[in-house]
Amino acid sequence: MGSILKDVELKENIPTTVIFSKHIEFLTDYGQQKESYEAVMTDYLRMSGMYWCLTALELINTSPFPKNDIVEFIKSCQDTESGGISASNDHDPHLLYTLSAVQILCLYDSLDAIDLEGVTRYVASLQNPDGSFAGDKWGEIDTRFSFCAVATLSLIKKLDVINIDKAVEFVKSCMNFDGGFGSRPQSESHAGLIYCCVAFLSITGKLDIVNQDNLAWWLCERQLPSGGLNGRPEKLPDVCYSWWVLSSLAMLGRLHWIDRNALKKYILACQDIETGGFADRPGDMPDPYHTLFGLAALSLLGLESIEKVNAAFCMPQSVIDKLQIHIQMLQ
Amino acid sequence: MVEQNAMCEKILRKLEHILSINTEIQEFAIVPTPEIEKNKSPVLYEHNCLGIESWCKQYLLQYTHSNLLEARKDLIRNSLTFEEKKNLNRVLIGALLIQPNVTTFWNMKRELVKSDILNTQLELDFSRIALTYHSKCNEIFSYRKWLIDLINLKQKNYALYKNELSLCETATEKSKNNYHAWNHRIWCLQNISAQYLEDMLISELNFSLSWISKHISEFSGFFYRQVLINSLHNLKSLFQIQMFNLEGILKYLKFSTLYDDPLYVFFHLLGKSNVFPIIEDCPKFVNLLAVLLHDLTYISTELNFLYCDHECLWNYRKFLVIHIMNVLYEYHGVVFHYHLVIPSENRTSLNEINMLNLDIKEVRNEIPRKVSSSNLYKIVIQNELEFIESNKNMVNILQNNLALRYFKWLKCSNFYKY
Ligand SMILES: [Zn+2]
Repeated sequence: MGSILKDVELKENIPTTVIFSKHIEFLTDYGQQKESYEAVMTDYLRMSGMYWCLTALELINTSPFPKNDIVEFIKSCQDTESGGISASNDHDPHLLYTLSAVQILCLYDSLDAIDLEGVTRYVASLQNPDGSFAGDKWGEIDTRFSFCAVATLSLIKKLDVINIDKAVEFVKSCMNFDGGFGSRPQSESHAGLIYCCVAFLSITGKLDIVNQDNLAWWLCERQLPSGGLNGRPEKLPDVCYSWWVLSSLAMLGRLHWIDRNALKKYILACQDIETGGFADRPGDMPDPYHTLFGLAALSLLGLESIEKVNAAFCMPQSVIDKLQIHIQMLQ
Repeated sequence: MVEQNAMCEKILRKLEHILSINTEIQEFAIVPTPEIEKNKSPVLYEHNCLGIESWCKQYLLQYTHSNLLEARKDLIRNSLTFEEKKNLNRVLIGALLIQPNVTTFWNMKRELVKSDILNTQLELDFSRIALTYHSKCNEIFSYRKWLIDLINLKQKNYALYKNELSLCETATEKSKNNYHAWNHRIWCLQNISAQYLEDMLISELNFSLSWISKHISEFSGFFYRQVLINSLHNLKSLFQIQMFNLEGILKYLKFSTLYDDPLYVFFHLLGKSNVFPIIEDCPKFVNLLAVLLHDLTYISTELNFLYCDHECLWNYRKFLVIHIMNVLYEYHGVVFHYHLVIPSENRTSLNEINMLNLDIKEVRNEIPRKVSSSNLYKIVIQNELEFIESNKNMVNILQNNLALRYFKWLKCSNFYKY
């Protein structure tokens, strides 16, 4: 029986350097067409879209957009009653977009522009007695939201308003025997959720509860012969998973366990040389999401022309330093 | 613009009408059609299948979005009339059939349910139809969970969960590695009342076996089986143990015993224990071990020879071996925490090698004698080594690598001693 390897083959003429000017063009153009069909399609996650674009641009030392417009937009998305922030005007507030908004404001050193007490109140209101967090008032539970909650509060220096011990206990209850984490207790290990849980523990200083080498082993298994990383067994490699796996390994102090040269080659191959931007796999359509995670992963791999990135927050290290936030990194 | 709005309104009315007269709709789809070939009405409806032609999607999307967002504040403030709320649902139907990942729109539906404009049962129907086209959409599963919790406030309903299971099966058939659908299935297992759990576990074990055999490279299916196996701890009776053919399994493992009674076979395999037996605990150990050994011989070995080079099978094997060790240690009253011990020589700081591809020095483990001298321990370790050997040095490089990697894992685990 023949082998059917779930991987991609890298072609001969793939890009081997970062095409910075093209990426700037790609990211700058992206947010411009406000009335287009695509803009309506992605309106429900606009705040995160802005975070991806603006952070990617920051990592390559550009910020082409007027700060005022962005800050005004974020202000207009805060719900005065609950204090939470929505993805776009007239949408409902949600933890996911509250974090994105706070991250953008940190990039622009403008946290004071919004009602921070409102944000604090909102995040605290979403914690359940078992320590878990709901994404919004309707109650969906996910470890992603645990991460969003502590990341948001840590950036605005209000971590003390929630029950950290209970929150950690819940995240721990989502750990599987392979060392990985899923979205709820007894959910399958998944690289994206592993990132959320490891970053959660790194921010709260509780990384010692992970089984370092069991988890690092599982993460190393994600690397395929093409050099790219997947997010679960027998799935295709993907640039965003490269970031989630790599940043988790970085926080676990096991970055040196994977073949970094091969990964770098894979990520570079996912650039679109015509339009700029990164895609999930070579030859696919690029988007801001994979562009941010491609650049951030290259930063962790030590590419000097890209700003240093913080593994837990996926923000420039210089911004985190300025806020005097320290995360735990294992040796 | 006026013309387009009128067209959208017409489409929405038609969709709403069809959904209200036919609760048996099996499927919804957006059918690719170029605009030049457009029909008078883009709504397609035959044999319980509902669809729209793709060219009208963008008009409908813009129309529904702007209408719904405009009404959002009024709905929150409760300043809409009964009639206006009804009309709002018509727009929501169109918007959510096209793009169900917009949380705000589902929230509007939740508010309409809470104010008794919408009925929970009909909403389960609607979200089921939406799921047939967007089978990976987490917002749909999330809405269903919310509806079911609401219904359950009145009474716990077994049929409701049964229905969710078949819905999950459809969704997992439609999209590979459908994380949210499997999570939803696990949620059902966690929420069903205890009196039905045993029934459900047995039927789910059967379901998952046949599902795995047909989807050998989808790890989510294997993971679901792990959840089922972990739930066996909650069972109090020795359920149909024959289902797993203990005799056949032992023959496979080349273990001969004079006993017929599963309990005695169990004692013979595990050895004398100072802390056991506590009779009430017997069923759970026997059931658990029977399933683990069955899967080790059937799923993980037979299927491996049928379908070569599947990482999923090797991964599942790890789960089985670790959990067999768990039973063995627990039976002898020793606490077991599986972990890997990576010798420091294997910690490379090179840039061009994955740690898993390095040679490994053997780790020396201290294993409790009670454990390592039991028949089960010897059989299982021997069986693993033979299994690795038979998969090594094959022409198939991938399978060879998987075998080598597995051997390396075994050597690094804290329960291995040869
Ligand atoms: Zn991706």
